[in-house]
Amino acid sequence: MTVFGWAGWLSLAGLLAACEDCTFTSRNNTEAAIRFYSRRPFNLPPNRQPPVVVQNLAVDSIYTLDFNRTLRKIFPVGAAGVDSLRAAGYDNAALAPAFFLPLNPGRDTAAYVFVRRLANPTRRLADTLWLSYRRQIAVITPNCGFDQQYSQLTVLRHSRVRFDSVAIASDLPQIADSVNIRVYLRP
Amino acid sequence: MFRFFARARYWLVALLGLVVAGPILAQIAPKDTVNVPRKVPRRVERAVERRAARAVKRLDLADTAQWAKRDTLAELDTFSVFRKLWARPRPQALRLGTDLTYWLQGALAAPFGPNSLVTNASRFYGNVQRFEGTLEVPFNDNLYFLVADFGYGYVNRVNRLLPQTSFQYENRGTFFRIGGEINLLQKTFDDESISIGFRYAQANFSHELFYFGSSRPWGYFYNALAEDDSIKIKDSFRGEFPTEQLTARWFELTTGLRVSVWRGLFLGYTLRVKTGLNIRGEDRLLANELPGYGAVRANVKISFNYHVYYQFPFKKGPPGRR
Repeated sequence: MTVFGWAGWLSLAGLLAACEDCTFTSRNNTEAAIRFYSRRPFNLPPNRQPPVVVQNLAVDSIYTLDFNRTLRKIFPVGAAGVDSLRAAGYDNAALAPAFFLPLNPGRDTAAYVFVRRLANPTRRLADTLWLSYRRQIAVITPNCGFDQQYSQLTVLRHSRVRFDSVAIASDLPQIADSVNIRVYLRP
Repeated sequence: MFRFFARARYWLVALLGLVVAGPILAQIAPKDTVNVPRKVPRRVERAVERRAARAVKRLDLADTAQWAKRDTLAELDTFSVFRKLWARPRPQALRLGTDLTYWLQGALAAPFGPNSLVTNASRFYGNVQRFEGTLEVPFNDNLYFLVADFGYGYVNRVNRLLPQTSFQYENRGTFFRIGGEINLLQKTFDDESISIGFRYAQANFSHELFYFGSSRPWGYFYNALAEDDSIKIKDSFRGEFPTEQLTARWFELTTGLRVSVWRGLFLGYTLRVKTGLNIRGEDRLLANELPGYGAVRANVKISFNYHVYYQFPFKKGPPGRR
């Protein structure tokens, strides 16, 4: 047998040692970061706009609104069995808080109710925000599981009790994002 | 310093010229100068080759005259290659083969694990079914080949570790590759070859994913206290993404070896660099595996196939120059 013959058999042996490992880190986020700002003065040109003021105590509680009209409280403390919402910087007045809204993995839309208590404990102001997005899913390997990506985040509609306008800052929620949705509040 | 760099440029060009033109000059030089008749013993051939190699090393590559001479030779040799490639195609034989990689992986991928070879094989082939056939036609004294691969792939990936996140992914389809290879050692061996080539590949497939999702804020959560498994996953949602009639196209650069081991029986491998993957028809579900391509993870993928062939010559006679 020639050298090439031996090379052929050796490469067959090398083939048997081949294996597959699971090294995958996803940057996709299943939550959309939302932050509240004071209303923009629309009568001024962009170069004369005052700095945006982040509203620290914009909401007291947040609920998810299911398609069968079920409300589940996710902030500040979830109902029984429901995890509380992730909120960054909410306890620290010096930081701009961002709430991370969990997107509905079973549907292409999600609705949230934002409640703000007034001085009179019997009065509350509630705003609803409907979001739409595109779900994509990719299987990595059986051991790594699957990866879900939410993209093309858009605002379907929102109420106007306290919300003045809602803008999408980034339509692809990712781990490093600071904010995806900007809500401008009425004064 | 400037003069040093100015000269270094010529040395670099010379080095590149050696790397590129060397193998071509060695393999495709005119027949009357390199093709030594078979009557000359092997050791004499090798001695001549060694002497030639030493002579090439002694060449002063910075010398313009030498370069002009080498360029002229290279042009002549290039023309001779084109002349050979454009000569009337003379098919010599038909090689039919299959890929051993797929057959062997299942049984022997984990020979030292807790399971027996039979168990490994049965589990593997229960979830993965792959077949690949290859058809090769060598032309003009083994100078180049036309290659066509065709195959079928079925993959069933199941994860049942956790009820709330279990999933099942199925992918099935057919594929073909078509292309050619040029033998770099045509003058040295009769039937054996070391070749480089390219392929155009296309896969037509469908895939499907069933999965259970879990999200407490939306009411999909896993009740670990429930005794009945069907209740445990009752509150999870069942996602389903079937997608059909997808098409994937890609290109491959290949290099391979073919060795005649016994009469018409050949063994060989093909190393493939796959790139330019384009999948049409994907919507919500992104493909995990493609028939003929493998796992979809990177833009460039390297894979390896080990083939066994049987050659049916078109003309009877001694092997090689038929």
